[in-house]
Amino acid sequence: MTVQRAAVQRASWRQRARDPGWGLLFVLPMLVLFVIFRFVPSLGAVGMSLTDYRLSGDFSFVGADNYVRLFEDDLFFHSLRVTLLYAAICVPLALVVALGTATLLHHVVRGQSVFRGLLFLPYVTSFVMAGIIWTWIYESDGLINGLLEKLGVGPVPFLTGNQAMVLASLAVVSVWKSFGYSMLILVAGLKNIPEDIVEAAKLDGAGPCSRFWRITIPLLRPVIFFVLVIETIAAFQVFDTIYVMTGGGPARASYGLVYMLYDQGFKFFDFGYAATVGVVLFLVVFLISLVQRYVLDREKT
Amino acid sequence: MRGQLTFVAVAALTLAACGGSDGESTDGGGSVTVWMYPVIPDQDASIEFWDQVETDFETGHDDIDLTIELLPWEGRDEKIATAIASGEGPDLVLLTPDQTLQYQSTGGLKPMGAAVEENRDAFLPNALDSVTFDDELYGVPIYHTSTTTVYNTEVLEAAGISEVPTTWDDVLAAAPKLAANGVAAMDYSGSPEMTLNLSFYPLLWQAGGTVFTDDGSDVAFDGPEGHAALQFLVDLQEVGGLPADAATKPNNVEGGPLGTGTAAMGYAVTAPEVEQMKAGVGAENVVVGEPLSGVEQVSFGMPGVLSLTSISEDEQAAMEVAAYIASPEVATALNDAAGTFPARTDVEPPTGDEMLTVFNDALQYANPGEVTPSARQVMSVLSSNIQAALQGSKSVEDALADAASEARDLIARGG
Repeated sequence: MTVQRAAVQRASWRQRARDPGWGLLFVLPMLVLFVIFRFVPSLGAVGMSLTDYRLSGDFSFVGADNYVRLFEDDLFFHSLRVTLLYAAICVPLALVVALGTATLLHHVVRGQSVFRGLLFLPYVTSFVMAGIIWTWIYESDGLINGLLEKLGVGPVPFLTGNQAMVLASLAVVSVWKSFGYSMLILVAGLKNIPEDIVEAAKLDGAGPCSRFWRITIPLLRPVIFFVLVIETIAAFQVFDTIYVMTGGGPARASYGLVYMLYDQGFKFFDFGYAATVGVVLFLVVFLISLVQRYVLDREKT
Repeated sequence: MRGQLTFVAVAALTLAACGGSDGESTDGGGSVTVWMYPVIPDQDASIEFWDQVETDFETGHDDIDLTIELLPWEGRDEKIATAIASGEGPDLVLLTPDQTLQYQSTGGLKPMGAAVEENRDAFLPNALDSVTFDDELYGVPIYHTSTTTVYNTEVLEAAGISEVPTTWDDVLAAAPKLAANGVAAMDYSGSPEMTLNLSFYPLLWQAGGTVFTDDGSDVAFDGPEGHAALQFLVDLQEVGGLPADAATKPNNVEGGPLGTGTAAMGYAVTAPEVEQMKAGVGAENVVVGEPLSGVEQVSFGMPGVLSLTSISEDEQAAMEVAAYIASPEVATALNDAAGTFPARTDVEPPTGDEMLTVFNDALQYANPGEVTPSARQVMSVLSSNIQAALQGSKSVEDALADAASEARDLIARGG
């Protein structure tokens, strides 16, 4: 009798847990935070981009004026180009480094958690501190140039040279700082590859290289897609490295979209225009994510 | 005087204790928050000084609760802008004249002429003018900065130069001799974070030019004077007269070319920076001189003003605080502690130090900066083009022409 009642109770619990209302309750705290700190500000920014919002809070509705101005603004296209170029350098570099370290970690037999911790360390350091120290490392009398001088090579203008040089130097810092996160995701992906498939490939005589290219990479594709998307978004949002290390310079070589947004909003107090840059940045990233999804999905089928 | 104040304070406190604190703020009482910055570079001295100001003020005005918050220079505009936009911030904030106009034109400030009503004549007319817009005063000057030239006599003598360079021609002539010893003749900081008021503009003014036309409706830096000023820098760079990273370096004296003896002179240096330089290369090797001359002799020096934010709810009390901090007693003490100079005529400049006398004399050549609604955007545009010219990616003509055309677009859009 008692046993039966307990069984009935358990079933009802399970039923109740399956009820969508209960699920909603469990995610409610996160959902509330998400709505307050993500949705509302995002929609607010869209609204703000249609106004000439000023410091005092006074504003009037200006319709699409800000967007018209943006698409006539050479500076916007310049910063869009800078951002695209930066992403083109940063995203592949981040992926290669993260995939390389993840594969190494996956094959390390002993002390895996120690190495994982060490490789993840840059991710949890302060970006501003890292930026300042990397600035010293890059300086004309800094660590790298000091070593190069010993080899008789002239000082390399890492942060003061041409645009490709400056953006690549910044990308290296960003990748150093953030590859740990992508690496962890890829390690998890590698662990999910069934051991028997690898085993079967080995029996069929596949070497390490062909196993990597023909087994690991195809099976890892969904994870790689995810990493690509988050790295692309991160590259488009790059700000802290630029802010700390170059201030958008030299001669606007590293003046990306978010830096332009910051300038318009917090240097020139033109919040409406800054919000417009933000909205367009969102649309650009959204479009690129769709394209990435389309390309990677098509290859899968 | 002191005893009297204490008596008043005690009496008021007693009254307050008896009658409760409600309804006592009718005569301008209330709470006032001031955002102050490290005008006094030494942190301990700064905390001590402003604590004292707070205590002294509250002793005399027991109905006003004054809070002076000390903030760092870094991220200053972001913090002020977000504070005003969110309605949670200071009643009074320390600003420069160009910031004052920027905040005024974006609706962030309230006029505060009443704060100087009784003693308007005591302030330097230029200092008040620089923060007067639409015939309203938007800041009370509490000090004035001054910059002038500083020289490292040791490296000059080592290059066989016995007389310090006082004109552009002198600097150009000295540069190759100094460069032979690996020393830059003149420090220059082209970082985008660096204000042109302390880098390019003094040279432009020395060339006889201005950034804007008189009525501020157009830029003027692309005229022959602007060419001369930028050409001077480029010429100097060609003969090794500027630090190697002049196009991008930040303005640090400590650890920078002036502080490490790799630059022979600076032309827009403040008194605290001279102290840093003395610490770096030895006080006996450092002398200050008159402002540098091109066609004209000009330096940069501007008032620091306390401005009333649009979110202040206790205007009356805030203006009392501003008037107090600008008063001769506080101003004198501030100048002593900060190495700044008086923004009013009834305050004696700091004495007893030869260096400070030179700085005070330099004030007569001081240009407080050109203040127009688009001044900061124009500065940012010009700054990146000067970088391009110093890096050699644009010619002097192209850099100035590009900057001018972009600046004119900005002005046409209304800043």
